[in-house]
Amino acid sequence: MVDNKQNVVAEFKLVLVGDGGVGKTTFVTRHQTGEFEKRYIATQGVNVSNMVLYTTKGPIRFNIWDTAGQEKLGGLREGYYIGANAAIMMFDVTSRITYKNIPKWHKDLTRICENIPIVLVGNKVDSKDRKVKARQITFHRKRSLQYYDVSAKSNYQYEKPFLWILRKLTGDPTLNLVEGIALVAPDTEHVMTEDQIKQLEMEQAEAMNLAQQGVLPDDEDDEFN
Amino acid sequence: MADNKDYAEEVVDDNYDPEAEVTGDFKPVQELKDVAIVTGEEDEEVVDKFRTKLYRWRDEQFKERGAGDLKFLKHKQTQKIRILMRQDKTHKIVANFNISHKDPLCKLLPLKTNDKSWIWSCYDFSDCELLLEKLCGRFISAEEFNRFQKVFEESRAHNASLVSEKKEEEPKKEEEPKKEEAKSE
Repeated sequence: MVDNKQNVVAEFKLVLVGDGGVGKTTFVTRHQTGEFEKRYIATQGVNVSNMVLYTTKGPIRFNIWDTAGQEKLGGLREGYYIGANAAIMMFDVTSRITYKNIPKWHKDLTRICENIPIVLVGNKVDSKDRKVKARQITFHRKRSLQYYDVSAKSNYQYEKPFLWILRKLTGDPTLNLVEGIALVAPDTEHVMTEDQIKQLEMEQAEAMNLAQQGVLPDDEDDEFN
Repeated sequence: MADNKDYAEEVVDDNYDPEAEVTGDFKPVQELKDVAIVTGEEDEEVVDKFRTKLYRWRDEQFKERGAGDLKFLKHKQTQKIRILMRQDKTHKIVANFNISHKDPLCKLLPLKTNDKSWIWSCYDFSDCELLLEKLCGRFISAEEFNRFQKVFEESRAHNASLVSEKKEEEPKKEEEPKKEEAKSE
């Protein structure tokens, strides 16, 4: 990813765990590209990717270890957890079993990672079919875990878990997300030959006809207007 | 599960807030100093802005890119106008491109399946590399949809006028290097 090239002031490893289908990969992709993937494609093993957040301390990179939730037996391999600076444990508020399995994930995680900041996250709160109610979410209380309702679909509080973690990792409760630098783009003539530009633009004109027929994904607009 | 007992549901009162801030006792991994915030927009003025939901063409379909304020920014020295859009809350840059006057770039076409959306192509720099993209912007009302077209097309014409002025000045500058070439031969 391009984020690799960016200069950062700090870099942290974050592991993301929870049952299969709760929305871990979708949550990460939503942050990285803006896309909301509706289809379920089970993650195999682990996906490691980067994400840079601009903060009042400068740009900070997370190496996100998005793990397979399907490994029901025996938990995850130690290597996934070793060196983690923080973790997000995710469940799906429309599925009780995914919340009931949180203790198992917590045990798996804390057997390797001692006293790292962990956020418990209940995803899919946009759903009308919520099963795990606020007052049933108590697991984190005596374990110094932070909890947030989130929705990867509507973006509700989707920045909160990262913000809390960043505040703990830097020891600064006032850290905030800010606007990073947006350089003016170089002119295309500086990176491509005239022929390349012509070729690309011819293809583009054709593709625009197709794009004009495109259908926008039906999305939740509560965060837009 | 073996440890079900340890994790039995607690009884909480009606005012229970599961999201109450937890401070915990964590040792900071890396303490950092506050830095000055540089947005890259310091030498620009905001010409106009629009609440926008932005989409990118990927795998033969439009996929969400972000929601936020799309700004038309005019550079105080070069006078060039670009579009910059950041995602709400995270401020991640989701669009950053010069409004090119070269066809077919930055020619607005209405999306046929949604009456508040424009599509256009451009060289977008939002991920710090120039990529030829097909973008779609959806606006909050028919009025904003129309107003966007007006501001966009005026900006495009403005950028085109900057280039034609420059061309008139250029020939003089080019003469000198040619002379030097002749000498070295």
